[in-house]
Amino acid sequence: MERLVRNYMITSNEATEEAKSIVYEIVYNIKSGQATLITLVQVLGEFLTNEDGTIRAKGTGLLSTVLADCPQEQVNNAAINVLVDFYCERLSDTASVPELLQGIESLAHFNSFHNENSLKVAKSIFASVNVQSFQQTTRHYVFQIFDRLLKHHLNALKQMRQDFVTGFIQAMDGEKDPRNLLLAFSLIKLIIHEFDISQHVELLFEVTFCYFPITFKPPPDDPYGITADDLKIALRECLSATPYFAELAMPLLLEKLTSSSGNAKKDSMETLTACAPVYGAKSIVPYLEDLWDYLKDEIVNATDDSFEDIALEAIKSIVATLSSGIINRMDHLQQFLKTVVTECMENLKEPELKLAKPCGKILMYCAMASDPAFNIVMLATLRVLIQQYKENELATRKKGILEVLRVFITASKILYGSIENPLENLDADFVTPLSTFKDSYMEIFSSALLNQNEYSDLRLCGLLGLHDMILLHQFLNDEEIGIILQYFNRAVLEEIDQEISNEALKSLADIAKYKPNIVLEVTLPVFLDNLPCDKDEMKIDIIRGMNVKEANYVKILDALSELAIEPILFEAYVPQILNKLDFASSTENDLEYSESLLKSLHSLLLKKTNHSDISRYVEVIVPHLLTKSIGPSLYDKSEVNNTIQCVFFDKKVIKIVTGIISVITKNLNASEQSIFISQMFEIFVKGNLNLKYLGFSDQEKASFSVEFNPLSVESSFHQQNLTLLFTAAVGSCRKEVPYPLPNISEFLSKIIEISLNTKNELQRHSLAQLGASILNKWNQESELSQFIETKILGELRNHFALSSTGNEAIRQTSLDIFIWLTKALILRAHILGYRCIDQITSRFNDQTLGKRASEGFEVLIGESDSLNKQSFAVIKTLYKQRFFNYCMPILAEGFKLSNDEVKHNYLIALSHLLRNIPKQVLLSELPPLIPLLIYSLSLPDAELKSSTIDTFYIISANAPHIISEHVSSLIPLLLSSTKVDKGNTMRVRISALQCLGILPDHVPFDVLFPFKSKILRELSAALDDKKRLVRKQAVDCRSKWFLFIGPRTD
Amino acid sequence: MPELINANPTIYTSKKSHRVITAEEEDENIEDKIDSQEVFDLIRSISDPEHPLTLEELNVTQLDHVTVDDNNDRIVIEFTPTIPHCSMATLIGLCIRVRLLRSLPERFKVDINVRKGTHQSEQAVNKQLNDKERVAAALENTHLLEVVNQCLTTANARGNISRHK
Repeated sequence: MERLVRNYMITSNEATEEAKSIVYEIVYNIKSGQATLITLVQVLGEFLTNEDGTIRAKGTGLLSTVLADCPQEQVNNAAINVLVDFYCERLSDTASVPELLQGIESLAHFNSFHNENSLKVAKSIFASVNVQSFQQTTRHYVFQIFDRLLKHHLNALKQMRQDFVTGFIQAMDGEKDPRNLLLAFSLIKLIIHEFDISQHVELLFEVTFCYFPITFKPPPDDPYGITADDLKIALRECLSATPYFAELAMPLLLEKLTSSSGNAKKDSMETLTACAPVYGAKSIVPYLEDLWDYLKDEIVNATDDSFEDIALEAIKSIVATLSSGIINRMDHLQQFLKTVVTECMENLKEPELKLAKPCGKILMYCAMASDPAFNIVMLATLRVLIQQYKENELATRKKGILEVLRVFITASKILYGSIENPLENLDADFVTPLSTFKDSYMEIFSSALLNQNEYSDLRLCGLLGLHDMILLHQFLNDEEIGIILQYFNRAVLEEIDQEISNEALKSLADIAKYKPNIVLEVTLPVFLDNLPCDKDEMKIDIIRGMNVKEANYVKILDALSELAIEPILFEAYVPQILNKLDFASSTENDLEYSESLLKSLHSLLLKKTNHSDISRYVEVIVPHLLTKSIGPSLYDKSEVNNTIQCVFFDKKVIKIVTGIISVITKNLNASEQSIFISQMFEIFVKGNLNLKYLGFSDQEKASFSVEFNPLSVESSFHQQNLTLLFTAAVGSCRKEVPYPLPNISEFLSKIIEISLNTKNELQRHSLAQLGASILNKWNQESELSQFIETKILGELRNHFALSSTGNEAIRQTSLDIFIWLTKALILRAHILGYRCIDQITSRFNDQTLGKRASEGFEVLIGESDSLNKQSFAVIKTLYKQRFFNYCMPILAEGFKLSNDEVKHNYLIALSHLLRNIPKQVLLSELPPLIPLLIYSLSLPDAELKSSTIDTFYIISANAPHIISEHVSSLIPLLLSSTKVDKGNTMRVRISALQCLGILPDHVPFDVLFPFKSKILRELSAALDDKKRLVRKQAVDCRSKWFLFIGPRTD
Repeated sequence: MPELINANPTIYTSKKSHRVITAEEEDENIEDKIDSQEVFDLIRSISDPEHPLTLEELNVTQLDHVTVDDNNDRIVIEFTPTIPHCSMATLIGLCIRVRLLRSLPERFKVDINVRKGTHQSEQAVNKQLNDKERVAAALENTHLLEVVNQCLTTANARGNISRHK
């Protein structure tokens, strides 16, 4: 120990590696029991008493540092007393104070540190340490010590009473460091709450208010992570901690309120908002007149929305404070509101003018403040406003008044609660006083909406008001809500004004969430009934002429897909829709109508993400659609042509059905999925149509003339298309769901075989996805690897790897399938997947396959709608990054070595890669790629060019320093991409303009300035581009550059 | 705060004439003519020098008062000051002028006039706005240019300014 201590004392300073390792060794010795703290103190003795101040400090420092890491059990009750006494007594040794405080801070963390110790520490610091004469870190120890003491030994400190308060005030007086202040403010707040400060109000106020308003700006690199807002809030909490401050603070806050600095104003208003309820009505009453004048001015002449909001909050807080007084103080509330209402109503005489809106808001915030305030404001204004509304003819004026009337609904929603946002512990008889005016409100808002000749903004305001009224807590009864919903129904179904009809639908959809029963009763039947379901209705629709057919059912179905989301609504919707579908597909054979019905069903299912009721529709919707889809494919071609039911031969229809099956499957749990797909295998693989699940009648079954064998190469195209349905079901299963298959290898081989040989593109693509999904979820590692080795890297690869086979079609098909299977492996980061990638990249130089192979990168790394998280694919974290890291060198190297005709295949793959990897990866790996990207801009390939420009856009926004280095080569290329030229499609031109336009936002002025005049000059051509969308972008870009004038010099 | 020329102007909810992108506009091969809606879109969201409101919201500019003849390279714009003695009229006109100088192809000849009968010194304002040299001279004044630039910062919104409720 002695050796260690001596070595420490001769180190040059305590930050050296050597010093640290000595400390580490001492701590280790103590922890392991080879030495004790006592020995350390004994050995240190001579240094602690040395005449040289720096030696004493260094010795103390060693002890303190060791204490910080010392185990709890080393310092028992006896030891802590000795150590605390030792440290406290020496605090008068100025040279060692920083090290002593460091040690005390550590001591205070020991469990054995008790109340007596804390008293001793506090007293000693107050007595011996002139806190503000030390540097920041030392002061920080002081505040940390007090933080610890106040939080763990509060009761002991309370014995010190006034002495603690004055002591602390002295310690923080003059503090300037933001880190220390943040801590000090929080302690002040605690002291105000816990100590009797009545004797020291003024002093305490002075040491805190002197920081108001906070003008702190964090240094550019923000080393402490403290914002001005942190400090503002901490200080505000001090100022609003006690009513004692009221008398001192109010005049000063008022003064700052008139300050010309926006920051001071804002802070004063926010502080006022926080302080008013604490200071109480008595303290703000003397200032009401001035407060109103200043705040009103802020609201009425607001140049900035945020100021307006803050001022409104301040008014609300004042009104709330005035409301909370005892009865006779209500006079102040009455009086204040009278002033406010009178001034506002004066401005509301001409409600179409600019000042009406802010005045309406003032009334709203006053009304929102409390129940009495709501009553006073309401009674003073509503009758007049309603009268005014009825007497006025001018539409803009009516709308102005209606807006103000609506304000009370909003205020009521906040104060008395609404269905969407119910207040907790709401008293049952705490009902909005607006109920008094319910009849007038219903009448006025309804008539505003219903008058079709009116100004549409007025009607819209009426509609929004009605919507809000429905949501009000205990305002309208179900019957009244029903009446309003009927208005909304009509607006959706019959209204010509698009905006009103859209808004009505939005309202209905919103209300359906909270009042599904009323919507079920009033709205849903009307909408469903309006969907044609027999020949006559269809004809009537057509006779009514124009686009009725379109207008009607498309609109209604769109509306239904917004409305019928809630389980009880969906339950009523499904049978009706399936019913109409039967009519549309069989009787009418109306493709468009069938398609619209299915789309509506699909989009509803997608919206029901949080609903558990979906799973039961696997027994309702799915078999219905399967029967409908499969039935027609079981007749000979000759029969089909002259009979019915061709709707389900349509590819678009099949794709929607696919989507429906997929979303329902995803919503099943594992055991439900397991049952479901064994039925699907039975039907699609074995061709068994006798399942009860399907529900074909015996008669139907007898009429079928062909077998159902959709996976076969020989079947009709229509049957083959149904492969999609099978893929949707199997591909959407959880990975633990077992397939009803004896041998997965065999099944996969068969799928690959069919997809290689089929002539049906749709089927091939679907089978490739099916194969990929099975491969991705296959959990028997050895069989999987064997399969990949022999079948994928073996047989399948041979189809395309050798250019000598001569059959280009087979080469292309096999490559496509290979790419999909590779994707399945990459997602699960399977080691053999990388060998597959090699096979794909090695085709880049192939004359016929090069382009296809490089485009394949989009499949490999892009988001897929079949293999993703929702379809339970096995996806390893960071798989994209791994893929990127693996491919990047191959692409960069390949680009260098290949000849010009195929070079751009590497760039295409690269652009797919860059587009799909996470931004952080992109930005960190980017610099070596920039030359390649710049080269891409000089090629005429439009697709490549626009995706490269998009990459540059991302880089500009996120890593401008990389762009800065390349502006001189980049800007001319971007400029030439804005010109009408070969390869510069409008998409390229637009992207180039967007990219040029974003530069001034991010790249430093001095880097860009030399290009400014060239850019402005050259872009004038784009202002006359023949495409409007390009011109718009050119205008925006140029205007950015015109306004790019660098930092202001004043 | 200095006294405003017109402290409480009427606010008009802009009739939302928004351009919806058409299939033609997305078709590479079709030429889109410059029309009055396009030119109106350029100037509608210029900010008023006095209020945080756009020229459209104050009814200073209206679609009907923009005439465009793309084939003959002619554009005529009329604007309506909020009050007849508005001393801001020239400044507003200048903002429109600068915006169009920066945003339209050079081939166009653009006339910018106060709408007949809406301003006391109509002719003087018109003369100032349509005289190239006077406009250039005005823009030499850096303070004035700064004010103009300030008014133009919102111009790209093209009527899509979202005012919070």
